[in-house]
Amino acid sequence: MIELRGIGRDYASGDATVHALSDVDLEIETGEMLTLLGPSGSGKSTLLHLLGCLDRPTHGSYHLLGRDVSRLDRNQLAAVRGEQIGFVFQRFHLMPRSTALENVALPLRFAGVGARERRARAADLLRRVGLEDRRHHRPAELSGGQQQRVAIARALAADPPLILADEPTGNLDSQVGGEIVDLLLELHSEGRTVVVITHDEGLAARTERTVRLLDGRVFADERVAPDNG
Amino acid sequence: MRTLSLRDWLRSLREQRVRTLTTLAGIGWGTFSVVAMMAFGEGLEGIMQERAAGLGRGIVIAWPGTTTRSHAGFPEGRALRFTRADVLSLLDDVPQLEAVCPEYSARAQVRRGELVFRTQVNGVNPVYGVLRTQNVELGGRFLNDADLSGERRVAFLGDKIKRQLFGAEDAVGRTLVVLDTPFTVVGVMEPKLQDSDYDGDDDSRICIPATTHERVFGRRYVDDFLFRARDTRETAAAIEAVDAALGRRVGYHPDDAGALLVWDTTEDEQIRRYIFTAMDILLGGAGLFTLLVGAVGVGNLMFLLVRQRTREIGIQMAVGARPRWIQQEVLMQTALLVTIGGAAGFSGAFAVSAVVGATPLAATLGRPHVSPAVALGTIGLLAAVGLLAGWFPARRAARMDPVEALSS
Repeated sequence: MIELRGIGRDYASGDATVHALSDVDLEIETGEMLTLLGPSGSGKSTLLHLLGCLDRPTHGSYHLLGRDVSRLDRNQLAAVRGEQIGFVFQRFHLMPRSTALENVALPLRFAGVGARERRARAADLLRRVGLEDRRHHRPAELSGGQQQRVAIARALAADPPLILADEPTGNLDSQVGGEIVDLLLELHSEGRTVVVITHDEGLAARTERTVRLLDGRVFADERVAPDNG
Repeated sequence: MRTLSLRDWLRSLREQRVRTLTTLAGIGWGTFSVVAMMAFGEGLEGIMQERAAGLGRGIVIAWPGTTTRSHAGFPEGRALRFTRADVLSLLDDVPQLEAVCPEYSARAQVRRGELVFRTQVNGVNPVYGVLRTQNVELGGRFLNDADLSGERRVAFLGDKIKRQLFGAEDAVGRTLVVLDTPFTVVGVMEPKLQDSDYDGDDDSRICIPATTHERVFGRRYVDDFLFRARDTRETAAAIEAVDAALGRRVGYHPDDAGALLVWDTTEDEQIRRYIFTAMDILLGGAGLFTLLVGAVGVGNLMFLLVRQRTREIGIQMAVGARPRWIQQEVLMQTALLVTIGGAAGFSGAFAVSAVVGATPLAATLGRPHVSPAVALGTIGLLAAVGLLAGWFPARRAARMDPVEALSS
């Protein structure tokens, strides 16, 4: 599903060039769930932005579902994001002035779905994440865990094959975080490809594959039986 | 383009309530200025034209003068005199002329029963009514050719002298006495606006046939005469031709500047047009400037909102909003602000115009009128203002890097 070849991402920092990522090769199969693990500054966020088509690599090629997306323009990348990718962020990134229902329906709006169907689908998704009674609440009126559930519902709205989660439990306590991970595992069990970024070894232990990053390079790529006991 | 979250944007506007209201007021005031000033200018121009037309449209009034150079054996300093025949001959001699009318002018005692007034009694030809815009009240008529050839003792009254003599009664068919001669009233002038005159306002004037005037007052020479060119743009040439033809007929040098004294009212009209063009430019310019200041306000507000909503724009982009849509969205939002402000300004201008037009102010200011040209022009201007104000904020929003926007 995902094929990265010789990916590098350089940033200009003053006169110097920072190599946030160098020479990354990575393949992810459809339906896989993997954890990108690494300390801060290891390049994992940069890699997630590239995987999520929020950014373009300086070097190398990125094939998503067989299509080279590394040279698309900004409008085309936005279309790819809208159709193929659902994001779950550490800071939730919900629209603060919109209700839970409106937030979940947002990607559908950009997908050109009519208002009535948007509402119906968003309501279904909120029910699925257990928040049907919170649909008219603003993010500020929801707990962190609830906000992240809304974000997951939103990530699912356009029914994308790829879910990217950036430290999804980073702002949550361990119990609520565990529930969020359960939800992500559930998405994986339905056949979606799920990539989770974290520096939490415990979370990594619950996925079948862990890619470790260090100093912008892939340092280890481990496949183990997940520990979901 | 897909509509983005308008509701969400309106909510962020509500958080900037004061700024939004002042911005809308700016655009509203600018629109009001442009529309109202143009409307008032047009109303004023209309009433000034109507007043000017009260004297006559495109007419020239001419008086015999005194020669300033000797000619054909006559010495200079000779006072010229024109007969009615001299004046009427111009119609044959000067092809540019549409109409010519001799005018005898006298102040005389006018009597009806116990009522006695001194007023202007002029002897004229039937064409006078047209040349001097003397419209006839229903039930009457102006002097006609039969009155003239028959030297009839008939009179056409100005509306004011009619009121003074007859009050609210019907005057047509009644009799009044001028210099001990009884006259029958054949018609009364409709009230009119008149901003200038040369021997008193028409509302106090009594017109009688020129032939009758000659007999009753014992005159042989006209006091003045009026004429109008077929094409009023050719008035200057017509005046020259009239001057030359009269010079040949009564014997004065064609270049003698003192012989024929003329008042060319078309020149006044020219001046009036210049003044109004200047006024339109001045007032319109002031309004335009106000509108531009309003545009800067809108641009500012949109910049502020884009900056304030940076993260939201990042979120929208992350879930599939094309940068192009974001740009169009900001432009649409700007257009919406400008439309609301513009509509308010328009309504205000319409309302004030209607109110002023319905009050006694209309007699001095005229009826303010929002012409289609002004309306369309202002709408076009507002569209340009919206585009101008929205363009840069929209571009900034669209060029945002989603990664940076999300981390803000």
